Amino acid sequence: MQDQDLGDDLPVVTNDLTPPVLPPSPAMPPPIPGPVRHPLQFTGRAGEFFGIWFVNLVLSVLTLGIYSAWAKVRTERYFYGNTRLAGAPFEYLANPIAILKGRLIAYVVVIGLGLSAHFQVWVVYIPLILFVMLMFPWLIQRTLRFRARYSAWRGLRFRFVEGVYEAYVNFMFRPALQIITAYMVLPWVRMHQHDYTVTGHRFGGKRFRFSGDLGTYYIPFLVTLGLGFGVYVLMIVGVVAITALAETMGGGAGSNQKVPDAAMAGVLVPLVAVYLALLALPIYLRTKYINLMWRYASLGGHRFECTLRARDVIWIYFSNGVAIVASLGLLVPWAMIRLARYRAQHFVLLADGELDHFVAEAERTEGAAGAELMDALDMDVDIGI
Amino acid sequence: LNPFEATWYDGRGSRPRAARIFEPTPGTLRLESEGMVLEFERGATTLSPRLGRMPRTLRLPGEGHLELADTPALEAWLGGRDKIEGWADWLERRRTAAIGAGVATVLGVVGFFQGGLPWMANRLAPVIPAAIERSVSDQAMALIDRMHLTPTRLPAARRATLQEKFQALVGDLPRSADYRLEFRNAPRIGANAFVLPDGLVVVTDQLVALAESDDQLLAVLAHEAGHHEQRHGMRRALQSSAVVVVAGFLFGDLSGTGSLSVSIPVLLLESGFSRDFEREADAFAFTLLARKGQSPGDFADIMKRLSDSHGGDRDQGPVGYIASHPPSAERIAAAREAALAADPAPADDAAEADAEVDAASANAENENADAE
Repeated sequence: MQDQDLGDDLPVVTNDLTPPVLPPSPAMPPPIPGPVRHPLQFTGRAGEFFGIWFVNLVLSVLTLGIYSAWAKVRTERYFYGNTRLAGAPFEYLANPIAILKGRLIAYVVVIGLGLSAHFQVWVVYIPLILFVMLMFPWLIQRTLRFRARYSAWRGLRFRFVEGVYEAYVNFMFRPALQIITAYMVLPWVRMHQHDYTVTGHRFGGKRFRFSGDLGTYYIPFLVTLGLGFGVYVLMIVGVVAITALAETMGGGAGSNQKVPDAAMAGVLVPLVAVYLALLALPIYLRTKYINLMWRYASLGGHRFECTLRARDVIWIYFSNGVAIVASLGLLVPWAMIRLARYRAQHFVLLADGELDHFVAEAERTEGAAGAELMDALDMDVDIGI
Repeated sequence: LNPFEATWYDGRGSRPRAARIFEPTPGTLRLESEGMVLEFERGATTLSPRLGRMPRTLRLPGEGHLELADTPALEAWLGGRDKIEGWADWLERRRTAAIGAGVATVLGVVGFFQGGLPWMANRLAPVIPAAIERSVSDQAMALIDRMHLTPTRLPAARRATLQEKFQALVGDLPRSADYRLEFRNAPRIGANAFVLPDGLVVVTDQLVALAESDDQLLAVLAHEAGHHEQRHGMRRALQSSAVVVVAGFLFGDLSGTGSLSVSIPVLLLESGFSRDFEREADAFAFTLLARKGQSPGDFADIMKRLSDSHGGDRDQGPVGYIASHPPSAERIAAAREAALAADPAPADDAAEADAEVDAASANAENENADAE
């Protein structure tokens, strides 16, 4: 799990046993003004956000969910506003009333789905779920548009301009090919989805560009496949070995009662290890793909650097999960802040000169219903800063 | 008022400019930046609500926005227009008030589920038309028949006898017209009995076989009659569908913490209702049996046999909270007590009963599952 950005040109080094041999001399002398590094800064604090999160929770419950629109806006504003780039914070500008309207529409659909499933009214449920599934790419496009429209930096808003047809190509037709090809085209599909997401965005009079290299998308995919297969083989070997061991021991000792328990425990250990590994592998792939997406993205002459490390992200997810369960949910705000801080620490804008020359573009309002439905259905658009 | 130092983004380009803003005449804001002077009507500008330590944003109509440090002076000057978020911010800054509100909310929600919802279901259940009870029951019965039951193998004469005795037991109850008694063979479920909301009582062949006497069977039937008289089936259906909907509304936004955190309390609440109903139906049965000159001890005997037949000595543990029925030991003890109260008879019988109660630390998860 070497860092992709470093390990790409070099053969993958197995371990950090030796200190770096080369002095960092090549980085020192550039006479040409290279890109200026603007790291993302995150200034949120868990203690402060706890108050906001807790009040959001209480007021949302007390108002039967009405306040949740305000809660969402305050949460987003907190995370946007505490993320600063080149000294200026990001801004989340959506209006709670617009969110509330979108949310009500989303609730109607979700409650319709929930009730018809609960009471097994398939006449309603099946057309409704099919409808939502067919709408999925359209919903993605709506979500991206809404999110871009209400995100701003230095007083200029983002925009998302890519069309619905391309959304269907990238989020329905291309993924459908995965099923025929046993998922062997997954890196190709993901790369085109990144292309769609990145090039659809505009900021400050410029369009984002994306120039992906399919080969680099296949590397983490093949690593994931290899690791998954290796873990699977290890599990089988482990289970067989332990069963055999238990049988020989059982034959020698002759006591019928103890050995099956020990054998059961012995079989469980590799099984649990395998399931944990299978949970971690998708996170590994996702993290690598987020890094790749930013690596191939550019805006004007500006480029990006996202250097998330898969093992860190896996550890953060895992320990956040344990902390949230152990604290009965009270550590949710801490976990959210922790993840946001980690992401910000590993994101850099490589600016080609000044950042003062972006200009405003024409604006139009966007409805929140699509974005809220995506939210309510727990479907996440993989933009991941 | 002193001028406030700010950073101005004009909304047309991304260049930040140092700026000063002040109110030279009441109702007019003047912005000075890099030799430019702009004036705005005070009412047309909006200051973003306070949030944590974040800088405030003052939106200027047509001229972008200003970023200002969050100070009390600024809040006193231009703030306080968004009442909702102002109030939220007040709460967010007072940890004790927020936690107090949280505790009050939890108590309120628990109080509603424990008190308000059962009360409402209790009021609503008698108003539900018989036709609905009938159609709900028919659907449920068709489903159970298809999945778990086969036609009874009891001889017709035996069935007739039991039906006669059942009619005698429930004949003078307020809802006596509803009662019907049917039998089914249920090899997989085993000894069991249940009542549907329209008064159809179903007894499995296995229960008839398990009972040592007809009196013991009548004791179970009296319990089922208790469910029907108190409309437990309808009340439970109303309560649990309300729990699903209300909990969805209240906690639907907590998607971050996962649906597990919601479904566990909901499960606990639903089984809590169910156990209360079982206790009520037991108490009803004890009174009815005593009135008919039969000892509630019969109920204890059949419960004992039921819990033994379902592998009696399972550990109580946390499962006790999730079980739909109260622990058998508790119900047997209650029946013995009722028997004693109804007929303060042989003392040696009671002593023996106590010993039995200790033995039967069974969990009533499966026995007698009322499929209302």
